[in-house]
Amino acid sequence: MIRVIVGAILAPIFIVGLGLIGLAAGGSRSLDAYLVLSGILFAIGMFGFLARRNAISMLMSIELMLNAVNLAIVAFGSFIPKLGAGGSVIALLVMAVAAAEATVGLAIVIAIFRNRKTPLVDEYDAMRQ
Amino acid sequence: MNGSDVIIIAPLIAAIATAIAILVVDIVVPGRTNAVIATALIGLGVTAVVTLTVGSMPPTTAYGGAYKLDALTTFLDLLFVAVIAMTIVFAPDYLAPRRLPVAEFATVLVFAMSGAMLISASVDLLLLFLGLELMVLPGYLLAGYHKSDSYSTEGAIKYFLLGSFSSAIFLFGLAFVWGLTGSTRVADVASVLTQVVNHTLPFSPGLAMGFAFLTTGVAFKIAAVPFHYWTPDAYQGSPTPVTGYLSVGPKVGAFALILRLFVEALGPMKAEWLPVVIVLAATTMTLGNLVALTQDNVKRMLAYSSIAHTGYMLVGLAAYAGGQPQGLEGLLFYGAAYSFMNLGAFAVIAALQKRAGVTSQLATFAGLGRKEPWLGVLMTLFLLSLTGIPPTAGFFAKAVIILAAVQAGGWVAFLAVLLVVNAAAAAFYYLRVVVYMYMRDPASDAPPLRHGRLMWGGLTAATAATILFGLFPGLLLGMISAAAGALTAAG
Amino acid sequence: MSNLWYIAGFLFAGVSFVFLTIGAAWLISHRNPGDVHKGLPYESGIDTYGDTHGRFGLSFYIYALLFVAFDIEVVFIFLWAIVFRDLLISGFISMLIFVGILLLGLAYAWRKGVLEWR
Repeated sequence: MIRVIVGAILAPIFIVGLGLIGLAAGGSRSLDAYLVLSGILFAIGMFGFLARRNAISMLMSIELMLNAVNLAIVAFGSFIPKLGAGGSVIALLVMAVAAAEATVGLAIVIAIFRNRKTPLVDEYDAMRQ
Repeated sequence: MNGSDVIIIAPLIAAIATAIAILVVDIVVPGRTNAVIATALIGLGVTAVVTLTVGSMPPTTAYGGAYKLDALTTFLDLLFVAVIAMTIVFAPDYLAPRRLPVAEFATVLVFAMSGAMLISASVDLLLLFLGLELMVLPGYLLAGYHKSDSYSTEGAIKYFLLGSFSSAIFLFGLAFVWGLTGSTRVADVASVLTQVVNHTLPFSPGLAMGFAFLTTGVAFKIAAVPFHYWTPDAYQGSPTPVTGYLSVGPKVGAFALILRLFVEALGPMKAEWLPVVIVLAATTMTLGNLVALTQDNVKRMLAYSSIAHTGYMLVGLAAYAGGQPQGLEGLLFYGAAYSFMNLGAFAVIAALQKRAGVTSQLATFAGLGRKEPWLGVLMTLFLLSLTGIPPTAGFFAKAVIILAAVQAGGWVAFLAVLLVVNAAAAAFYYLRVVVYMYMRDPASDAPPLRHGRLMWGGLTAATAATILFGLFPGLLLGMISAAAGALTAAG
Repeated sequence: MSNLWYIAGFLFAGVSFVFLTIGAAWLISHRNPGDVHKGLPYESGIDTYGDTHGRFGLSFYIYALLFVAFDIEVVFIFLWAIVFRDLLISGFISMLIFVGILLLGLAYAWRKGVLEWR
């Protein structure tokens, strides 16, 4: 019963808070903000790629990097009038390429998982001399 | 799209039609290797003829200036067709004993070729990226083609993870260059950079970062030190015919990208990127050779030596930036010569591995010269050419690059000296294989293998190219100087 | 400058929100450590069995991969549909070729027995 009451109090606060944050972000109409965000996302993806040992996690990190690129592209496209609709076209092409890459990557991960029974890349060291 | 655009991209259409035709043949009559190879070779022949026919037209552009038909496009397209045809011819002797299908191999390979051909014709950063992806994605699949073999899949996953990582880096750079110059067209980027060099436009840090990311992405693709870590494992693990292709096709394709990017787009800033290329070239050839010296596995050794060859080709680029356009001719000639001699060397290894279970360790080559005299002679020829000994194509290729680098002077001339020292060091590990072939006793008494007619035909072609381009470089030089001329005229 | 205070305030509110909720739940909930049935997803009915993190068969992945490969074509078909009125017959032929190549891929997968349920 108490959970329901607390939930009833917290939920509106949460929703209003999200709305306020959205307003604040929408209020700052600057290209740099988006580019910084894209750079941070790209860096997180890069860190994930370098730090994780699981092949699937590394694949996800690469996808995050590609999405960061897409954010930058869409931001450029919407803030710089001269670029026109180019941003949307490039972003969609990048999505298609990312999908193709993920398909190939997952197929390879499945193949090596069948051989080695582990997704951890630092155990793929059969050829190290 | 209109009619003339379709005619200009006809080589690309022929390439994709070839890949589809192979698929259709395999759907209609599954498992018929001969039918598949015949289809592939006929299709590639048609592609070559179409390329030559279209290439005889005056240089034009299509699709709003994104696709360019010039002498460079034609030259590289023909080179790619030759590389793919030879790889397909070498493959069955290796694939058949391991029960791997030839049809998928040929299809995927031809799709990769269409990507490389797209790169050679693109003068738009986005199209260059698409071509790059179309070229490397089939490469990942091919590296893992022996999917029950744990080496093959291990090589594939390393190739894939680092390859797509570098693609993301390249794309990030592309986004910033596009956003800050306002166009993905190579010529527009170049004109913005000309204004930057003349100080009529400020050079924004974002643009510098964009170019740094583009350079890093491309350096991964050509396996320049320090971005080479994926190379040895990917090359050693892959099935041998695939290794031959990977060491040649994607490398020349990535160099085509470098030419379009550095010479045409970044041409106005060549004084700025010259130091970067000098450092890359020096470290790449030195480190590649030093590590190759310590390898006992011939495939791995050739992987490191291919890194060194990347360094030699970069010297050609440095010579161009140092003011000698002949550097580009050297780079292109080196790319062609290297393609034939390296594919030939890998073909000999693939021929030896027709007997399943044969490794590519140095010991496999013991006594080969007496057991299989012809293979021994051909391997010696390819290794001599890789070393750069006259009268082979490898010698002339190195000579052109060294001459251009010496004429450029300054630090580029120092690179030429380093190249000579490196070539001498490389002779040691190349000739070690020759010593094993002629001065050691064979390890086993197994009877010599019978090799397929296709294998001999492909080896003959590689040998003929290696010797002919060494004795009569003029056969190739006319086309190459036209190609380099088309580049410098644009850049 | 006041913008920065806004951001800091929201950052503080956002972070403290998480900990406040967890803390409130921890304070309010009553614990009964001895009763294993409290830990089950459903307190009544039949007991669950097996591990929640059970692995799905590898054959599902092949369908997922095929789905992704064919699903992404929609990206291009949407764009094409928007400008279809301007392209007319040449656009129609281009899309026909595009879909034809994809269908050929599907036919190939079918012929190779990838679509059989194993």
